[in-house]
Amino acid sequence: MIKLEKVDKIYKVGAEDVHALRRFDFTIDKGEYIAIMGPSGSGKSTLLNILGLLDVPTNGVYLFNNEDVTVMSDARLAEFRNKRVGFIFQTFNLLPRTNALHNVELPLIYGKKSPAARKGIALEALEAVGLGDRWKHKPNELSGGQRQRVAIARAIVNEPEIILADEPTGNLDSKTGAEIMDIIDNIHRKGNTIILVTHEDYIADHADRIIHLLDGQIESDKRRE
Amino acid sequence: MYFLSESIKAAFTSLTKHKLRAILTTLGIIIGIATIITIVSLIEGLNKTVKDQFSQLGTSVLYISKYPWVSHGRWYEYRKRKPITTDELEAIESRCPTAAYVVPIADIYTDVKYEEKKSEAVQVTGTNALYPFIQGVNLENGRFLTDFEYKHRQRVAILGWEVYNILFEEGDDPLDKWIMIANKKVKVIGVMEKRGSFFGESQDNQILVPFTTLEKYYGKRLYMTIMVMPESPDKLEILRDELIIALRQVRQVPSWEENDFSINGQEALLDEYNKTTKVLYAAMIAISALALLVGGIGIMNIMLISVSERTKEIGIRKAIGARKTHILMQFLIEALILCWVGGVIGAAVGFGLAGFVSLVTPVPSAVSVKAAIMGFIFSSSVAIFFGIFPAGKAARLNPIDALRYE
Repeated sequence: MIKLEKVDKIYKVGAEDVHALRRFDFTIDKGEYIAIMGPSGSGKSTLLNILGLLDVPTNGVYLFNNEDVTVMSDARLAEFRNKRVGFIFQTFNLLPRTNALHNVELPLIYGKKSPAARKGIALEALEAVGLGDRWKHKPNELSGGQRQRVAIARAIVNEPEIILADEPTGNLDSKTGAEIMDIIDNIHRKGNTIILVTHEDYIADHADRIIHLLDGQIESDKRRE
Repeated sequence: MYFLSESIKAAFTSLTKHKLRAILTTLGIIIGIATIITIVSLIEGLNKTVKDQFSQLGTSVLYISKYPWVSHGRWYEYRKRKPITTDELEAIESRCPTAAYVVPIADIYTDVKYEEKKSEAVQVTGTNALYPFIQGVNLENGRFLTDFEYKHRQRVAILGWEVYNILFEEGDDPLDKWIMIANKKVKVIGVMEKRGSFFGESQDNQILVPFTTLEKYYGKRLYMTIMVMPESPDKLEILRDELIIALRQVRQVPSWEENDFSINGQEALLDEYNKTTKVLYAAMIAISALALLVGGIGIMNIMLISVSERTKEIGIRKAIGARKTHILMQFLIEALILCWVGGVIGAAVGFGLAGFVSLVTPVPSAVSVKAAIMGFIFSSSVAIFFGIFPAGKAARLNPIDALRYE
């Protein structure tokens, strides 16, 4: 489904070039559950951002369903982010002054769904993460776990092909984190492709395939039997 | 287009969070729009009244007098001119075939008495029997002057509505009563209907007498104007030429000299008036352009702050699929709403100010659609002109940089 070929990502920090990814080759099949691990600066987040179309490679080819992402227009990239990809962040990244329902509706709004259709779809997504009764609450009226559930509902509301999670439990206690991982496991069980960045081995154990990065390259790529 | 309502919602969320900031930001817009609305309202009000008043002058009447109505600082030359007299009147009557009505007028202001009652500073106008045809006067009572009374300097008078009401009790029959005009006994032969005012001067505090009668007592002191009307309005220019020939002959103006009299019409006044309002409009444009420029810079400044404060929000929106145009529109709409709020407040202030001015001064005002539309267009243009740069800056933000922004 996803194929990276000889991808470089180079950042300029002052006068220095920093290679976040080097000659990076990577393939993801539909329905995979992948955990990406590695020390800080190994390129995990860069890889996730490129996969999620938030960032573009400096060199190389990125094929998403055999379409070359690196030559896409800005509008087409936005459309892909909207329809094909769902993002779950460590810091939730909800809009603070709007309620849970509206936060979940946002991808539908940018995806040109009519207002009438929107509410039902968004409520359904909220119910799927167990927050059907909290749709009126604003983020500051919700606990960390509940906020992350809203964020998950927002990620899945447009039924994307791939879910990208950047340390989704990083800001949560272990019990809440486990609940969030249950939800993500569930999404995977329904057939979704999931890519997860984490520092924790017990989180990575949820995945079927664990990739260790070091200095912008794959150090190890293990599949669970 | 569903995202438009989202943009409006986002704009309101942002603006209501910083109410004071929003109001302060729009101060320049408020001042600019208020200036436009005030001045346009006053000018429109003035236009309406002035045009009404000018039409009272009659579009096809020429007024011959020693001084022009509109002059350009050549009074010393005009002063040397001979006065207009009945010689000119007779010359026009006999030599201008196009002149259908030729009417002299001259005014004095004096006290008028009847028994114990007195009306002060009444405008006593000397004229002839044709006066009603040009001035459109209707009588409530009695009759108008006759040619006989004109020719024989009869002491007869037609009272204005106000004069009648001061000198006589309601229901009193004034006809054939003798009133005192400046110590001369004059017989009342008619009463005019209420006429209203002309450029702030009451036309009802007036008495009409034969011009010749007035001339008998005041003679050379009178300043005479001759009103001439052609048989039909399209003959006005032919009439003007005839008048010039006849007047130059009777006043014996040598062929190398300019006319030593003035032929006035309402269009000369209207020209002058339009020139004056043009200056006012220019002043308005200068003041409001300055205020709107300052206001626009304020808008741009606050929008730049808003964009940088909400960098993270922009990142989130982009991450979940907002396009450049979505972000651009969101911030443009915010700028537009900001300017419209300023515009509405400015319009309210402007209409209030115009109303206040017309309340305490004789200058009229009109709540004009034109002013409101101008205000709307100006505030929208400011919003778009000064909002496009910050909005574009927001739209061009890289999603990953925006998301990382704290």
